[in-house]
Amino acid sequence: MSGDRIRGAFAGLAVGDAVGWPAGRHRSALHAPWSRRLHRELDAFAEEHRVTTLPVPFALNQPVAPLALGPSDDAEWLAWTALTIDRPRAEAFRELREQSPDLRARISVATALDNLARGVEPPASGHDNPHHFDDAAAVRAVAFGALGRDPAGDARVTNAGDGVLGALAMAAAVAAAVATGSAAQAVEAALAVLPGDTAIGHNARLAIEAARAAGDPFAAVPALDAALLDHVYSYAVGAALTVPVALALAEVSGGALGRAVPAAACLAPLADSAPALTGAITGACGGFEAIPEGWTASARTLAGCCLPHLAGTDLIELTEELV
Amino acid sequence: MTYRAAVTRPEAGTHRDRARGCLLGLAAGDALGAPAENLTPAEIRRRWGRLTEIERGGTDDTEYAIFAASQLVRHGHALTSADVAAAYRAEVLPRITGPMRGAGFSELGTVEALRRGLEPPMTGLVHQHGWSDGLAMRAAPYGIFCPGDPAEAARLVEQDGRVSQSGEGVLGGRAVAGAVAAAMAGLPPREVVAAALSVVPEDSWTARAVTRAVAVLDRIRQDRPAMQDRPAMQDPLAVQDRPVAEDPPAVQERAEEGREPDGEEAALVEALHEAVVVSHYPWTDVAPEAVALALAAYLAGDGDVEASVTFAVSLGRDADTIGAIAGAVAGAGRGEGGVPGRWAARIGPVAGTCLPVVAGRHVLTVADELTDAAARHRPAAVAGDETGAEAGDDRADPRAGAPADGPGGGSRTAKGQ
Repeated sequence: MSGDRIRGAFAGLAVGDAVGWPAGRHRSALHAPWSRRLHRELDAFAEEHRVTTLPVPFALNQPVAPLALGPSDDAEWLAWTALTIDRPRAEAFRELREQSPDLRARISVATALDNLARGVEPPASGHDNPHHFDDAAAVRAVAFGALGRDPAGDARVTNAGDGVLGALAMAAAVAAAVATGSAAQAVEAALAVLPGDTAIGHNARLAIEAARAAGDPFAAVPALDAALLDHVYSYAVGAALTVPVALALAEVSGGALGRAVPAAACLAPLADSAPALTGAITGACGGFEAIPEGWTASARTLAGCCLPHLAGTDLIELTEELV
Repeated sequence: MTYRAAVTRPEAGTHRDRARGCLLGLAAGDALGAPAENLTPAEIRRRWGRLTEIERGGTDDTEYAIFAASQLVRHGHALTSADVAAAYRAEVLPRITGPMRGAGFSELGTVEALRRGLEPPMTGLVHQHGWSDGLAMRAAPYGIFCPGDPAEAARLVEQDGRVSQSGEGVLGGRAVAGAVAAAMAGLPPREVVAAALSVVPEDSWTARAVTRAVAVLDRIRQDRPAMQDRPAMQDPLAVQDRPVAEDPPAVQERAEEGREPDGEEAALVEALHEAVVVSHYPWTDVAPEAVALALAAYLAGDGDVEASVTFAVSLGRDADTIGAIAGAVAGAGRGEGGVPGRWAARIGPVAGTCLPVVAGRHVLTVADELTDAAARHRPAAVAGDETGAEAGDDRADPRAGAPADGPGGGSRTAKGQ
């Protein structure tokens, strides 16, 4: 097992998380609530006056650091997972709610926390959940996969069905990438845990086929959009979409983060988490040293936009202690 | 103007009567609840007090139920998911020329999946609204078609559900079809809810939500007698200025027009929300929630159509669907005569706003077609339609019916009994 590849998985996820527009939106949570209200009002103004491109996210007299390129929700949840990985998972979530009552989370996690509070335990906490299919657990599974652990118990606290399968697939892919450095083997390991008669298993094979036919990550973007994306109602973070895209782009890029992550960010509806998951697999394939230093420098310090108690934590230093 | 699909109303308690009551109740609940959809219970109370009068036409619930019924009439017990997918391709897809009006996410997602060439069950799996109440809202015809046989009603509705739903969305449809099948046999409300639970796995969101909702009703009913002895000022559930009704339940007694809902009812609404409603989610069409609220309303109304449906729509959330489900189950139990005449008079042929293929069809005609189809597909010994649903006939007791064959399978009875 390679320490450089484990650091690469964590840093790669943070770099992918920092890429693109959604990170700025998450980080704007650090500003005063009125700045986000103004944001909504400016949207309404633009609609009314038929003008485009207003200045958002919005800072006005606020500290500007959150507007700089940097990591957001996924890197924070990954760090929390790594820090609490030895705790029983339902307990860890209960403790988090105590520790960070103002946390922000995906709908699956928010509902699971409600379920735990009303006495609904895992796996029902993740199953009786309208967003049981999202990729919150898949993000956390990067920690489990990088450290060679089973993500299933953690995943079932907040997710079910495709959401749990997404976590199993990400952990398998990252573990294989850490062990071998091969994107092809990472994808093969992930497919082995994704049954073909599930949406995520169906989509993973469809995405890989589309990307192979295109032959290149950037060339695969329109093919993935046409074959895979939900044009009816995009949840942005559905594991049955984001994990297959990450697998397909990791494979067709040959494990090159610098080619795979930008392509993932081009799939606008998935730009919140698909780049992060893509970055985790490809970061593990190439290792930490292969990621451009400017990106790791920008992506390593957590903002605390979802988990305020993690503000200022250095993700890479945290990873050093785990390796 | 009152629409009349038959010159004379069928004899009370017959299959034909219950079928008509069921679909009239569904259409009335849909129409009554439509203006309350997505409002909070407090806002509904502020606007209407108790919402008792139909203000506008029905929505997707009625039109999709008619569409489902047409598949049953055509294919009977042989209905398969492939038949339903073929019907979507032949009758729904070609008529969508612009927006697919009135459709929920599961229908839209299904249409997109069919356009991409997928087949069931993948058509219901690839979109993320598999749990929606889109099947539960149209499940009643399956219960009508299988009176007294919740397991068969659930098996059939699942054939439909696998096209557009997955997981709990399928289970919500099974529960409603099972409840209607039991109500069609004249079972009392508690046994109807037990029948709904008998066709879904115990380890499911649907079963847990229904069980929690039933527990809320039990708790409030148990608390009530003790409260009568205490001063009203100290009793949040006490009814001001008049004695607490014990039998029939207070909710039913209070269904009269213009009466303001009291504190006890508001407390019940709040407790039901606390027990089953998903807080951090922007949409309200979650099947386990809608089915649990609808069955709770049916129990709170003790099976009376007006009491059940008006309480159902007072719950807000997906109020038209909750009202439609409560109305269908209660209407199956009480028959056509159980649906208030002033509501029945407002139910005309559907406009086809959501599904152009059903434009002009009336739920009473559809109910009669289902009755005739059920008779055609029934063994000869019990094929006499007008006596088929009489109490004491040789129809199987739903509690002793075939084991559920759905996801996770296994027959069970309600915990709340």
